[in-house]
Amino acid sequence: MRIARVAASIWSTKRWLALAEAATVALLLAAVAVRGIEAERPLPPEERDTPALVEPLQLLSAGSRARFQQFDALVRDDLRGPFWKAANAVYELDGCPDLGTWLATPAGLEAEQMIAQLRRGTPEEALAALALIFQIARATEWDAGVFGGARDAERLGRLLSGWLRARGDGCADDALLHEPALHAVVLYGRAMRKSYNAPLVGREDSALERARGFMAELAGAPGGRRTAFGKALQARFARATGMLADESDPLEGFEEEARVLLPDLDGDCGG
Amino acid sequence: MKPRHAYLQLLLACAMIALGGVLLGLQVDGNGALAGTGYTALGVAALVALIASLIQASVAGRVPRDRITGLSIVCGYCGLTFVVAGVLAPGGTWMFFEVLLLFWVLARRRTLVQTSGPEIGGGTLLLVTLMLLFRLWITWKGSESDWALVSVDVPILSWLPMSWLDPVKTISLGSFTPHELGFPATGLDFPLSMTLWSAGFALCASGLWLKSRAAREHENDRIDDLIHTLPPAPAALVVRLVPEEEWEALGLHGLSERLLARRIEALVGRRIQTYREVQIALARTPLPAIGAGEGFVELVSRALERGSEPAPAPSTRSAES
Repeated sequence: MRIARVAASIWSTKRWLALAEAATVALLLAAVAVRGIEAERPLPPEERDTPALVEPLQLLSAGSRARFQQFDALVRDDLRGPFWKAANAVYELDGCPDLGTWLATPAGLEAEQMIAQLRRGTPEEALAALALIFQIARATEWDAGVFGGARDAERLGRLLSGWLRARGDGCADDALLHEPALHAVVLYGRAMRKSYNAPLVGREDSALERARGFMAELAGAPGGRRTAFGKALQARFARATGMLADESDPLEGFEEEARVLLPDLDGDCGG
Repeated sequence: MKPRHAYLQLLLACAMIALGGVLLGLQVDGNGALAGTGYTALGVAALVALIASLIQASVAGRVPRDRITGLSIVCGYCGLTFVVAGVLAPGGTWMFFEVLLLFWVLARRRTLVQTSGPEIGGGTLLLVTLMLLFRLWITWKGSESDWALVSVDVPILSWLPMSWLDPVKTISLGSFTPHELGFPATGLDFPLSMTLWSAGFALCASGLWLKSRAAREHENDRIDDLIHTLPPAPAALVVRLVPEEEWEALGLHGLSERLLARRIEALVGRRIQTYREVQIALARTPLPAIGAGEGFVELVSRALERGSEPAPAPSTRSAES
């Protein structure tokens, strides 16, 4: 009986060792096989789903007026009247007034209130709010030159940061707002750089710190965990986001992108 | 038969190498998903490890004598491949220089018999650790979208506040691309990937270190098992004549059982013969004649006197037994 017990224990030990050896060989094969795991290819949200409004970037461009009518059916009933009033005021802006000055007018105040109401609504309403901001930025002056100060650029930065703070992180997977939100960040970077460079002598460091702080809030801390929107921003504008840590001109990367993507939004009504 | 500690240590070392290889083959992309590190570095490393293994084996290698030794040779080769692949710069000129350096270090002549495949010494371990740090450094720079090893500010030009001078304000040394680094399309999660690679490297390197020591111990166990096929008293005598500390130096490691038996038989015969000759010489040498000196002479003559004294008679109990 005892001999049988010892024999059984030896057999089980041998079996255990053979299993351990087999597991080691399997791990060795796995170590080679895992190297072939393909990384996921990033697919923009607009290619995964079809948004209610196709080509949403057209609604941020200079030709947005031709399509703006499409928002009529997408804005909720109680906002429709004030929305069209604000939209008409924005699209009828001429003479390139200072952005801050115009926003202080009754029409400007109404437009700003409408933007605040729309940005927290449906994705289509949020896009309408962003389209209004872009149109205001196109039709007003916010690059006041050497002696103009930073007030207007700061004001535009605040409009954009308000919108991005409300919608930013959810935009990473939103087929409609993904691209527009990325463009909003580029315009925000350009506006804050103008504010940073506004003083005749030296730089406006507080504008830079605000921009950096907001970018960290939106995209995640550099070197740490990025938000979903931060990853999308990093993937699209790698150079610009990488330059945020630079000492000399951290927002220059966004200015470079804006020169290509948003040439008419130069703070001087395209002039 | 219960497995000896050396056998279990050898198995553990192999498992550590294999697990380390798995960790070194993975990275975490920007979406938090696992992706492979690709086959480029592995292919180059396999070539480096193969040539190093062949050179080491031609000088000090032995054929495996049992299953676990065979497994440890395979793991030794794979471990060397994984470690080299894990520390190589992923592409470009840096990789070429690193490969040359590793060839020189890994293919050096070995003095001791290697029964468990290629080995890495302390100096080589230090070198590959430094290379791992270098790889982590450039990977970190890449994950921050900084595609140069070092950026140096040009004096005077970099102090001027003119943005149109930016392209010439800094000089980038050792530039590389995301493609060279093998980054996933969605970017790299550096903290998690670094943790995987560091853990994998630590497992592989310590597995290789443990394997070479456990393999020597395992060979000693094999020789000990053969000697203990003798009855206990003769086996103890053989171990006294051929002590365990000398087995590796006497070239007993890695021999087949038949050759091992022959070699031990020859060693025992030769040492007994030597012992007898010394006994006879001691009996014929007039020791008191050299015992009058001082210092070294005195010490040596005392030692010789102790050796020539007749062995104590066995005790009553041992005589009875």
